[in-house]
Amino acid sequence: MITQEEIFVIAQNVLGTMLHIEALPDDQIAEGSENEAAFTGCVQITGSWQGAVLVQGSSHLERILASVFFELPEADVTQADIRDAIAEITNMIGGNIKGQVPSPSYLSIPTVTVGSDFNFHLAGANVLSQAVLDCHGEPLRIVLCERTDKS
Amino acid sequence: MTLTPSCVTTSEVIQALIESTQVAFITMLESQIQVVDCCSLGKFQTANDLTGMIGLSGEITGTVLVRLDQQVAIGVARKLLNQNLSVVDDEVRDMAGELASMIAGGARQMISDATITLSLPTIISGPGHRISFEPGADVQRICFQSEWGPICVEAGIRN
Repeated sequence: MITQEEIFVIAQNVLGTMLHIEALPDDQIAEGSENEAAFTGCVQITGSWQGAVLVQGSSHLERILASVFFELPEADVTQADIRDAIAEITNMIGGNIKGQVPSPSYLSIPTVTVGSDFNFHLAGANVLSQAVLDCHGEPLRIVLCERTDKS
Repeated sequence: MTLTPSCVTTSEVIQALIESTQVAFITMLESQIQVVDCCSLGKFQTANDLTGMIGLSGEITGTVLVRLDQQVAIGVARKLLNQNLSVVDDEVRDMAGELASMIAGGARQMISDATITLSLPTIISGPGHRISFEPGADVQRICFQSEWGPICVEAGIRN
């Protein structure tokens, strides 16, 4: 099944190829700091394999990603730009991860949750693996959850 | 397996969600729920305290959200679980996921049981969180009035 290293490679390919962002594995981020995320992009996988991919980061990172994605100065980025960019990045990373799980599997559409204090919980699923990358000095967390309740 | 292009319209999905929500409230909660508004939305959603989210894939690709404020969620959970709950705890959060599963699952049966797959329920909790869909998604909101207060069901469908 998909390892942390494979998530690193997928994320680096998506961010590097599509956005020309250098993202390096970040070992300095403490486990459990995902609750501090200002945004969570989520795409769910159904079919032969069931789970979800979460893409999480800070309010500064969401602005950086939207700025690069739309080739705009950070000061000109709107909330719509941020949400569209996070949705597309989540969809691309989720699509690449979906290609690594047993087929046939399908993606839902991505959603983006923003707020200052929210909690994300997938019922009946556990974290299979996760990776944290350093993007322009900000942590980008990618979490792969797998269904545990097979009923 | 090759999926054929979708022939299910967004309006069919919305109608199925309306009926499924009403059935879920009658069967689970012995309570009537009334539609008070149904509208299309931009990508930006209003804030709520608790959201149950289910992904759809197959003949249609989308996401269904069931959104509740804290007091509504606690009221529904108290009735459903027959417990004296007063805060949004794990049981209330699980209820939101279960409610979203029942509504989306019921709608799926009304549309096309064989070719729509539901994801695991995801629960998002926290005051004032906002959820948006991918660019270009057809987003529809159904506002219901329950005996505990307003409940919104939203569907974002990929065109």
